[in-house]
Amino acid sequence: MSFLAPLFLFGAFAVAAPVLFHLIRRSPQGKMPFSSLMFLTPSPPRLTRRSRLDHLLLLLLRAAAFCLLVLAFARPFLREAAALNREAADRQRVVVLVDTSASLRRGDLWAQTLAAAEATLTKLRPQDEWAVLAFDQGTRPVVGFAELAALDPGQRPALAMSRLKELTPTWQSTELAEALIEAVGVVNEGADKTEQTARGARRVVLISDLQQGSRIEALTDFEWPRDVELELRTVAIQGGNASVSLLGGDDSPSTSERGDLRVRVTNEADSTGENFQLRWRGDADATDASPIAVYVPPGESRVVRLPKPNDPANQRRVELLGDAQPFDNTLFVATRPVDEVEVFYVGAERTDDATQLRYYAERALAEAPGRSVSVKTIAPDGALPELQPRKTPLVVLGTEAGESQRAGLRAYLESGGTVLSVLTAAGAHETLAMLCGLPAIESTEGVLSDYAMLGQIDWRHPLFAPLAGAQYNDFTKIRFWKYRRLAADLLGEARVVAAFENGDPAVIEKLVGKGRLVVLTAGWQPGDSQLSRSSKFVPLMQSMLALYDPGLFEARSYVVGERVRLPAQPAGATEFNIQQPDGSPITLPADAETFADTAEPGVYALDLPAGRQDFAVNLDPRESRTSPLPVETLEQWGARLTNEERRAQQAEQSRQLRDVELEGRQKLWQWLVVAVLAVLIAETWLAGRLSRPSLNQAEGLAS
Amino acid sequence: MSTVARNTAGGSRASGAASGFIDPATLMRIKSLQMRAQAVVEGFMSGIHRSPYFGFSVEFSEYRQYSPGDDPRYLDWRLYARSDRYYLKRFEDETNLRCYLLVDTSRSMGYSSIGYTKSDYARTAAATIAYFLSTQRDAVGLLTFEDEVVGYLPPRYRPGHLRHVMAALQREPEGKATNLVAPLQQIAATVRKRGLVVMISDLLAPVDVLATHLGYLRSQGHEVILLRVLDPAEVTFEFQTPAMFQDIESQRELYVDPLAAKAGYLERFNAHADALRKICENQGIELVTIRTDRALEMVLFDLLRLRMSRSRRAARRPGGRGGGRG
Repeated sequence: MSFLAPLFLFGAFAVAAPVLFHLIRRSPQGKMPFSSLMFLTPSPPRLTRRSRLDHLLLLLLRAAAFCLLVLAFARPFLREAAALNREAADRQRVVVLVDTSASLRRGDLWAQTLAAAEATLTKLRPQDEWAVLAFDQGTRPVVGFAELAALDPGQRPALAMSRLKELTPTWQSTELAEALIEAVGVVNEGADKTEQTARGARRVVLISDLQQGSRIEALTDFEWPRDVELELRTVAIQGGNASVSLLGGDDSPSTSERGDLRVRVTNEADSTGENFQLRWRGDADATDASPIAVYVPPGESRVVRLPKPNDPANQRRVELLGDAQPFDNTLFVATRPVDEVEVFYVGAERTDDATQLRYYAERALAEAPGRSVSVKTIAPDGALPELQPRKTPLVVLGTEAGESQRAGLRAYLESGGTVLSVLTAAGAHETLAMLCGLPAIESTEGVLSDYAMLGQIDWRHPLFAPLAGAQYNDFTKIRFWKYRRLAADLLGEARVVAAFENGDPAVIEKLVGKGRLVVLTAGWQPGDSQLSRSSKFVPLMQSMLALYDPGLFEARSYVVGERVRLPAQPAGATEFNIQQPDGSPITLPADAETFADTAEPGVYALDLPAGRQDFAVNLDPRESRTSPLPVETLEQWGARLTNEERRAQQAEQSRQLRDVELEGRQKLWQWLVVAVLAVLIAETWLAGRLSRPSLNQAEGLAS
Repeated sequence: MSTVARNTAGGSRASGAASGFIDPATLMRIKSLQMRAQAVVEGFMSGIHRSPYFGFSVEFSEYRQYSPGDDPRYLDWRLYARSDRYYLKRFEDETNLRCYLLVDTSRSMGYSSIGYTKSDYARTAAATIAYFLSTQRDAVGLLTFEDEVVGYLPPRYRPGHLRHVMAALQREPEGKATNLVAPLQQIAATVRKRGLVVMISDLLAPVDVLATHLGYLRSQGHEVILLRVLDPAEVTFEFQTPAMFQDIESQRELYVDPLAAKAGYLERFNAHADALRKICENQGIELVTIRTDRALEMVLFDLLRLRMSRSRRAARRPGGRGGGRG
């Protein structure tokens, strides 16, 4: 028998109270003021006749009535009948979410994770429905609901554990929010179909190291369902972590002008060590550089310039020494050979003539990051070698090319090269006409009262796009003293990239075959304009150089799991060959646009017709932020956390609800009240009988 | 209050009505002390009382044979002419009495079991005496005391003085203890002229120290009367139910079962009363014990009876001090 309100049972003690008080002492009934106590002495408490128990049976009856009343108030009920229903109502739907991100490679975290998973799974009851998901950068099922439902309840944890033990931590980062949203979806799916389960609790059990590098921002856009709870099983090890990462994002160069590599060394706040070393390593652990000492206090980071070793073979990776957690201590670096290109200048000027075009062009084109440019001059009557756009991305015509050169230039243009033609004098432009495939093109001298400025610029054009930023796009300081007036439509289908204030074209582009013909109607030499002396000149010339797209592979540093955009293959190539860090090859079809299988950090090699291109894949720097995330953060992001205490509380609440229902059905208290009435009737009868002799006596006395 | 108290009150009403006096409970409902006093005195008597002292006044009293040393001024020469003997003429001497009323206003006087307190009764008695005396042109002084002397009005007979006396009597009892010695010391120290000292108190205090100071007053020639005012419950202790008895003055509490404690109480109470009586007898002091359910006129009766008997005794006493004045 159970009681709905067992506290009422304490009321039964009240039965004893009057009896006890009566027997122990008669307490004074009040205060009696008296003029003086000088004649009074204190009286000892005494036993009077009234303090003895007279009618024991009567007392017992009254006590029994009281006790029955107390029992009725305690609302007793029989629990046995309800045991089975309760199990069914308790059925839970649970998704166990196991973290397999790279940070679990620390210490024995993976063993802890497996142990936590095992503890969680064995605690689940036979009537529960559950599934196991693993997640890092993506979420993947380990065991599903349907698969487990087909099994005997006793075998389910064993199957799930055997699957989990096949897993190992990957090198990927932690997309916690995505995984949680996925898990909530999984736990909620099919909820509408099985109404019985829908009423039970739904729970996501997250087994993770809950590192600060986890991405949980996406939870803001997610409305966490009211009936799904998140239970945390965090695994942790003592001691912090230090890591090395390439500095900067995609845009900022990680190498300085001198060729040093700039890396950031980060030390977590809970670290114990603060003295580290950085060292270059080549293939087969070869090294020819001495380590560089780095001091990083816990919770801080330092940027270090690493001079590159002399031998490029030793520039494969940077190692961080002195950290207890080695998983993120290697930074892979892909080195790219310097691209050597040539620019041909057609003209007959002297190299040191500062009034002519060549002097400036040579200097503006010479230095470029990642490639070395050599400017070669050909006299208009000289022989033009066969030009390859890949090797010679730009030809500058400072004057009319010789007749022997024009066909070669035309062929060069059509194969994809860029020809920059500068109109230094008005008149007929035969080379231009030949290149455009037109009979003749003639220009006149532009009429200027004082000077001209660029009035309209197409900022979207690759020539001007790098200068489109608000801080760079002021061209009003560049004055043009002279220009040649050339209507754009004279060139056929041509595009005016920039025009003077009066509308006359300044820069015209015409596509010829695969290549581009760019016409400048004014020169940059001081006699024509101030262009060569402005800050815009070098970027403009570099943009000219880049107008030819060699289809080179962008060999920046990637993180694990990131898709690598592959270059377009030239026609005829059949497939991509990629060599993984461990040496195993991967073959991709020729029309593949991306390579997604960057599963582990290292240097990958891509075989291209232009040569072998390396690219480095590194660990996501966020994964190195291993300090545990405060549990409250998840709640702040909207997750409904549960813990054992709250769950026990809820179980207790539901048990009470069931008890109330059960008691309401059984209504034993009504029978108890009937019993109370019966006892009271007996008591009244007995009391009447006991008082009768005294009445008789009184009557006898009276008579 | 217990049933005993009610019975006592009822009894007093019955006795008051039967004896033709004013029921004290009825009397206490009159608010003004002076009205109460008037009511009592007017129903009592009027006129003068005889002086206890023989002097030379208007009204002849008796002859006494001359003895050497008597004042020759009072020789009755006519009688000498008739009888050839020397006689002194003696007269009834009408003196103005100086009466000191010593009224206990300590908090123990505030006890009541019959509807009005001992203090009410004592103050009414004092007011009655004061009024009565003032109607006879006697000087009345008032000294109220508790654990020390609270107020003192020297005896006067002049218009308005009685009002002051009444006002001083109106004061409610407050004192936490009773010190019977302080007022006696004050009277002995300040009053040189002989007079009548009437102390009205419940005398619920140790009496051993009382003897010395009463004796000292007596030796100064004062006539001393102790009016002991007691509540009926204090005399009979007819309580039934056990209770925490609380001392009105000290607030001390004592668990008392009256049925068990009554005998001891009465024994100690009577022993205290006997001791008091013995002291008074030794010192020639009149002790009158009055229960508050007794009619107030009886107080006046007692007082006058005592005075008469005293004056007679004094008169009879040969060579007594009372008759030897002059």
